[in-house]
Amino acid sequence: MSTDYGDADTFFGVRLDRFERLYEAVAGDYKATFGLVTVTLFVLAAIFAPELAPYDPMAQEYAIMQAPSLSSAHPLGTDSFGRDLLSRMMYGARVSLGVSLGAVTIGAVVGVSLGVVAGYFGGWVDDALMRFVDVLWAFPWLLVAIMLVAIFGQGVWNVIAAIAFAYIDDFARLARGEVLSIREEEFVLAAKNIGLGDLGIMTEEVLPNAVAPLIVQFTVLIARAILAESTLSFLGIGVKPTTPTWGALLGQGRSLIGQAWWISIVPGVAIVITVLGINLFGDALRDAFDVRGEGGSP
Amino acid sequence: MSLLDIEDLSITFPVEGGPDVPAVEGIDLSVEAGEIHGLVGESGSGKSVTARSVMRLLDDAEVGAKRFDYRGEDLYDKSEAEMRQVRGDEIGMVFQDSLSALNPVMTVGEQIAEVVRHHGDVEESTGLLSELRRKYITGTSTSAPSWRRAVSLLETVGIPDPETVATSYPHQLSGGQRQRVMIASALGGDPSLIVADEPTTALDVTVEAGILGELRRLCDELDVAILLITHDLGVVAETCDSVTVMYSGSVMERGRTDQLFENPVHPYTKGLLRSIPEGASTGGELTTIPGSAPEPTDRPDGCPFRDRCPAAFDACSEPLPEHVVDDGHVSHCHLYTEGDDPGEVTWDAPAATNGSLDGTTERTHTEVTDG
Repeated sequence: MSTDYGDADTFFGVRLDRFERLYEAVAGDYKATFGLVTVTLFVLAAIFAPELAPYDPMAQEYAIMQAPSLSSAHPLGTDSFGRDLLSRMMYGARVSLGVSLGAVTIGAVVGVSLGVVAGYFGGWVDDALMRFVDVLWAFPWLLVAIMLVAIFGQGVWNVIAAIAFAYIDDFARLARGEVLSIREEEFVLAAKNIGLGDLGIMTEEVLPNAVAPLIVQFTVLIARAILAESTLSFLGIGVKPTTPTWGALLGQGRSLIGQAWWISIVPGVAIVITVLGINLFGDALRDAFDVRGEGGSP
Repeated sequence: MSLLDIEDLSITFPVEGGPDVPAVEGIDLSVEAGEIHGLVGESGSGKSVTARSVMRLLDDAEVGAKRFDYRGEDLYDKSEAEMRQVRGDEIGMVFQDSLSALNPVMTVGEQIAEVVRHHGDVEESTGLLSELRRKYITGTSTSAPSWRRAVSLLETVGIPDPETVATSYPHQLSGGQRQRVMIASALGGDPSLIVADEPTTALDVTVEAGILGELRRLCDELDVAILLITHDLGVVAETCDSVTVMYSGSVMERGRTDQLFENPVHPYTKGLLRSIPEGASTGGELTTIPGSAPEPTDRPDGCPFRDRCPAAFDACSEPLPEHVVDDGHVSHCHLYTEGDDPGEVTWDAPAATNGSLDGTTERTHTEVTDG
């Protein structure tokens, strides 16, 4: 070959053309750009909360209890103990976003593994795994959460486990359904023809074809997990009651909504914006991975 | 010694609650190193099943053979691990429908590079984790030996601007280009044999000629043998060194292409050659073999062709004989068993006067056509 290939077209070892589709999908779509920007801002605010937060989220100032938004030195106001709402929102984002991301990731890894194996092998493997998934699905996740809290006490990891548990079946069913049709495609036979084993075919050939719908599922469930975490905190079986989370803030503001609406509205709006942003960005990601550009499943 | 030497191969598909379907019954097939061997037959004659049995990928079929030797070793005696090495490394495969046989979410360069890494002469890790990292995150570096080999293979199969094509997805390429990509991919492991299952059937005639020319050139230059499955005698005449004619799960006649085309002895082969349309359309009716092939579960005893054969006689219900016409030219027809020349087979007899043919099944049968 006469052509001399340099390494110029890579970025930390990743080929640049891998980014092109993503860039096009996000930059060419203002909704996706909005989603990416808001989610990024929220994530950054969560990560750098200790540096960025104007106040200690636990510091109480009895002189300015329930100060309204845009008043005094507290941009989003204070809660019933005079704690700065903006700081509590930023710290709360760490728990809310961390828990939802962690829970959905764990649910996706377990669920997709089960679904891909079940769909690929079929037969009794399929039956056994999917009946197991049915059992998971039939089990009320709120009950699991209460059970975990009763046994292990309140904590972030128990919340993550309870929410992840609830999402395994969603991922398993979706992945299985995709794999059932993908495994009949001729390129799977072609992959066997180059001597790939079952594990290689499942992970290298079949799974990339199922990625687009799984990403959509992932973003939808992230949104639901934020709400689920809020539900648990609201019910008092989430993380420790003193820890600020969006759900807990919402719950605390509930009884005061007549006098200090911002205490519950601010976390509520934050949840809505995050969920919306993640969904919009998820759509763009789906388009980027769906190389045929037809929308829907590849 | 032949590269691929199959003797008395039978392939049966078991059917739950019904009679088993014998797709192939006792056929012999041999492919010499560095030749193009045509396996020709109508739809349902068992040629594709035979081809796939070479890769040992017929999970739901019962495959039995007296001998299934590749380089003197029986493929059906090998372990699954050894067989995985044979696939791609020794025997490559080209499919008919290149759009569905290529993974739609990966660039074609990525797919060929993968074959090269698994079977070719490059020192790159093929561990699951490194493959997953390439597939999902980094992609194969354009400076990696496997990528360079992929690009040079694309150039080998006659693709202009191979660097750009390598970064394309299958749906972005034309059918002809995709089929060339398939061939490049089959070449990725430097195989000694390529099984091409109707590689040009989905292509139009001008593109077909290009692909066939490419196969011929690769066979000559790279010394790779090709088992070419086709239903097109014109393709055989242009491309193949030798040919096996199948009909309804059995071999009718086999020999070198020139022997078969110049001196066909089996009535079926004669009928096929007679059915090739001559020249451009003249508005006349296409010549056909009256009747249609029997269902695999409903074949007559002995010769499966005897119900459509104008020369059928009593002995045809006996098991197929083997008659050596010439060196390497074998016919499985009872007409020749007693060593006497049966004379010309009269194909021109109207179907209605032929007692062995059911006139109602007569229809334009254009399975075997030129181009």
